[in-house]
Amino acid sequence: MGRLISHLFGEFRGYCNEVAEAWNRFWFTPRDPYALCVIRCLVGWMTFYTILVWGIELEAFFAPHSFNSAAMIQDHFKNVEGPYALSFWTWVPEQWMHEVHYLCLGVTFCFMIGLFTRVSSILSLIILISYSYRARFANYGLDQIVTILTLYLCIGNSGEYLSIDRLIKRYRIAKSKIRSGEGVWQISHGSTKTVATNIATRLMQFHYCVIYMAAGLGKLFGESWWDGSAMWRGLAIAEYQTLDMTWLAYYPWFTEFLTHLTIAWEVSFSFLVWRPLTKNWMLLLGAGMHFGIGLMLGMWTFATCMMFGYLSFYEPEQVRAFLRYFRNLLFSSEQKMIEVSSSSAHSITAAALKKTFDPTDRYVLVVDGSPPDFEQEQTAEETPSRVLPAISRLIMLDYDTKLFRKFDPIIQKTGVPFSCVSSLNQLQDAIEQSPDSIVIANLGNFTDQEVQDYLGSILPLALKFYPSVTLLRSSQAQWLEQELLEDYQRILILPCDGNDVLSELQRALLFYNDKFPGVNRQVPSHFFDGQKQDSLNSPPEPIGFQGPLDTVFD
Amino acid sequence: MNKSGITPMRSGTADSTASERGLLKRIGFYALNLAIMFHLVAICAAPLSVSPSSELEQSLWDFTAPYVQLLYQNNGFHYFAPNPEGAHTVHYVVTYKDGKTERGLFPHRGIWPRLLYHRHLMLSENLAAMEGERRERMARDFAYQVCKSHGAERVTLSLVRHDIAMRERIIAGGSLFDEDLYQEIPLGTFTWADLSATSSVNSVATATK
Repeated sequence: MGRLISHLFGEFRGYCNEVAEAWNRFWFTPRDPYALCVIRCLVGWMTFYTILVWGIELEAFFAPHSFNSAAMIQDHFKNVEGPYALSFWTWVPEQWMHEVHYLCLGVTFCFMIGLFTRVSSILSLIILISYSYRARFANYGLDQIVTILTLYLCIGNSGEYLSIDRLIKRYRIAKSKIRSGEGVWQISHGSTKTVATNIATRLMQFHYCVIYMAAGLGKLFGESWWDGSAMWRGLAIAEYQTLDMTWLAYYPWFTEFLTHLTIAWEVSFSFLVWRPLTKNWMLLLGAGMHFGIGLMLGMWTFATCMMFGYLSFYEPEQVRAFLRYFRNLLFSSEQKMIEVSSSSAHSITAAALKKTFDPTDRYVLVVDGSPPDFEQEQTAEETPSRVLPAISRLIMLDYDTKLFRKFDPIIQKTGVPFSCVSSLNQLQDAIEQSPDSIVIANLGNFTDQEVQDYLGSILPLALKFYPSVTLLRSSQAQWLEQELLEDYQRILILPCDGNDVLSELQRALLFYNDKFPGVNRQVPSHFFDGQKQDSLNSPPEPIGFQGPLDTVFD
Repeated sequence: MNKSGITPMRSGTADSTASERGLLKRIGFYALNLAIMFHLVAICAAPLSVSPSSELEQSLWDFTAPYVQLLYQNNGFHYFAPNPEGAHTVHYVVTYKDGKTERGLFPHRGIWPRLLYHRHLMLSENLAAMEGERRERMARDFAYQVCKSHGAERVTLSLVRHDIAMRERIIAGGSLFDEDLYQEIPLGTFTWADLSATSSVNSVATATK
């Protein structure tokens, strides 16, 4: 009995530890703020626009005797909502209203362009709250969502990218490098991943789940959401309507379908948005619904603002890859050498400014005849700072992790610990936790979308500095952009066996150690027992390797 | 003190400083976890407190209300719930000193940009949602604003409810704007003299508070 209790206690303790680990991983894994910065640009614009529009009828909404007099609003908060709804408009004298409004416009503009972002984001939040509470009876969904997003943008490092703050930082670094006689190519900002950014992103995601869950459950009280007439009713409110949709009266099945779809989507969003297989569908449906709200009810501001928050559900690398595509279309990447003299202040300033506004790093500054140390700059910019001198883990990605059991005997011999993951999200988490790992990804059974995600963003971005072996079907190789791959990112075409994978893995490591000699991910000497050293030293196969038919994979 | 002028730190002091730092870090970590959990509870409490709600949900709301209110997170998110209903507009007839009259309403399609239109729509919707003395007070504020913006002597306000035309009506040849879909609720007639006198009293009262 005692043993049983101690066993149960041990199991329970193990479970609690797992929960604690998952909690910590969810909230406290440092995250790159790129996605948050894109959200800041968009929400910043919306904040600025909101304040700008209030200004059109400033006195009608904010003067002591306006549509809602100050006395009435104060009574409302005192007797109905509660005394903590504070607004600085309570203390602004009527004759200073316009000056204060222009100041608020200036602050929100700074927030939008990312100038003094830490301070301007917090001030923008205070401004939004104050405007909303003073004009309480003219608020609607837009005010709620802008405030929610701004609150989380204050927590995360939302001014790190796409901001004036960033440009100032670039300018300073470029200037100091030129002054010290160093050539400049890429400007390294160091690691920007922070826990605060992750907390902000997670809170944003969680808040969206609460919003849609509350919206869905609230609708379930109404019979029109059950009998399918709600969508028609919404479209037939003439005061909201911007498009005449009365023709839909002849197609009741369509509006009924949209009604049921809306409810199903809102109620299930909180659960399905976390699953890789359904995430994109949930967000796509949401974007469709909000687009419809914008188009038919004219609530473009609310609709687009809701969609801005969807970016928090994507990895920063994915958002970056998406925007980089457009950046490359817009900006030339042809490199150009610029001679700079470190003794001329004017020349230094001009060159530093040129480098500041050089998003594609096309300008190479040669200072006093000395070019930049390309190798060092690239390594400083791109190599993760947390790499360890030896590999400590093999991460294996497969749709069904049981398949890797066939691979176990070979891996066991290497003595390297390994973990199996079954989704792209889990892979991201695993590489975040073990920066000194190597990755084997078997995409044979993954969906087209996931393969595209992996090849389009995870492999060239998240796994850019990881030796890896990716197993693909030949039909899946259509999404492969070979020129974007590094030598240490090996591709194998299925079917192939475990030994092929191991051979390719060692090639990846050899190339990796060649490329980053300082990092030197060595493997235990017995890692490749049984492998022919000669074959490993031979020149690497071209991308794509047809393995024997007696396969382990596939 | 050694030759370099640097006093070596005793290992005991270093250890205790390190452990103090470790302890502080741990306390900070637990505090951060608690803050996250509190925030999660708080943002759930707001929609949960929307009627009908249990006593438990209400007490959760009472507990988190100051925090949630301060940050303007006190939103129920019950968009178009429980059912999408008809909309309201405020209609007015202003009378000028020379006896001329003018009719108007808000919101109206001429209000631009669309965001401003929605602000006015929310004003009339909130007026419709109010009852009794609060509605009277809000109507008075509206009347003051209308009189002021028109420079009028007197204004008569009414709230017009526009019901939704159901599908069957459209199929039978009706429209969204059929007359029988409108219902007018008089809000009263207000004179500028009375309104400005009351507002002065109100401002004095507010200033005194």
